Amino acid sequence: MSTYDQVEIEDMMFDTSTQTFSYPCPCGDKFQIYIDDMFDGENIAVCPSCSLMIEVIFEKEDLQEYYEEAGSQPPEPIAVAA
Amino acid sequence: MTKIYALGSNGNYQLGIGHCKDIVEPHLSFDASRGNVKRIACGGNHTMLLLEDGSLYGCGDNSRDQLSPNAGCTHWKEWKSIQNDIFKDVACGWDFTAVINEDDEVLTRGSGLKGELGLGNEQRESKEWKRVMTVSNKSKIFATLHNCVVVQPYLSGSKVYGWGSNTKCQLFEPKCRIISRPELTYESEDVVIDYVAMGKDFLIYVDVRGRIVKATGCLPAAFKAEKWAPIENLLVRCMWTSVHILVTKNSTQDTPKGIYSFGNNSHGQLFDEKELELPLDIKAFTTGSEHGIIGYRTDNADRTVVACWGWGEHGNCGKFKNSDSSNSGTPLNEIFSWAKNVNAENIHLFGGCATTWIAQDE
Repeated sequence: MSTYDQVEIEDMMFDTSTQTFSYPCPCGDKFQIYIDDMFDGENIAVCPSCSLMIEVIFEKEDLQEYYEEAGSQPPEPIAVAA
Repeated sequence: MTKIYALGSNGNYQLGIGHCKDIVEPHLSFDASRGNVKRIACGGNHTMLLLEDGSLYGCGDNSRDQLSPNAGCTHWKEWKSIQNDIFKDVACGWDFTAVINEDDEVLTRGSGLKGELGLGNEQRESKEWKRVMTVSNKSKIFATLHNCVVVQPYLSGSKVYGWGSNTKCQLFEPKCRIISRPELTYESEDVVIDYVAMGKDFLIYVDVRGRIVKATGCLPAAFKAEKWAPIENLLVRCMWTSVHILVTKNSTQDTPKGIYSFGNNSHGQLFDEKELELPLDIKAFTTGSEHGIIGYRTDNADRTVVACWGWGEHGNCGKFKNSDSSNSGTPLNEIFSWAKNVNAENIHLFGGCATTWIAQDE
């Protein structure tokens, strides 16, 4: 998957109510990525208005402070029925 | 008199034409009987227009009070006068607006969560114009997504003050997250800064002789400021993630006339003279967020043409005659032209977030 740019997590805005990170897109809209998806390993933020995507540069442990800021917890691993 | 045409991204009425559909062919946006255009400044989703007589107009997104206290009016669908004051300069960042007024005060409004308003750590949003600082006469203001700079005359040179994000040391070292009040970023008693060209997280200072005198932040790796330092008569423009230098005279053997581009080429942003035939007589040159715009005389001088290249997904590089490559990269694409009786010096080009602006003084 080819991304338009790379952006570090510290440069993104975090919305505690939606638990979403965002960053300006050159089209005027914003790239968005949900914190739980990042916790699960996703690192591509997409723009709802155009085809551009960015790669978010972060370490999993970076997310802890944002979970604390939002007063929430990382998702529990999904139990797989035997 | 100025006629202003616009095309491109319009989801928040930022083209000022009454609706919010993207535009792929130049559309008359503003017809000014009051005087010529001085500057069009583009934010993420709002646009400001300053005429030579100091009158200021705005359109587009007002959800962060970028244009006026919104009181429920989150969008200006058409151009409206900002207020009756006279302004000397204007610049827009992502969600904020900065001006210099008649009393040489720098004022800001809107939203700046990274210190873009320059009003201190406690004030990251403002519904009204708030005073940042007072500057001397003939100061200029520039902005990009998350930064703002003021260039101020000082002795026989300039002082530059900047604020906003500093995570990439775009203002100065050492790195920090936020500079929430103006801080001195450049000072010289004899070098006069003409403008600061700004990418999304880098700054390039250019003096009145057209020399690159300073470059800071996360610059494209291929761009070497020291290589360019001795060369005069450069015109430097930045997209968010690339640097573009127009050499207008054959200044040295190594750098003949042309456009030299450095940085992100994911969508054909870099001007490649092997693929894009460079018009000989370029009269105007600017950039938007991820596209370039030039105005030139055709080789036989019978027409004046505006053409775009780069990322044109929202129609900002015009309509394509053959295959539509706007999602990937746009070859140099003609979007507008005049017959030969138009004086090319009266054509002014501006670029925003996937928007293209053509102003013609009459």
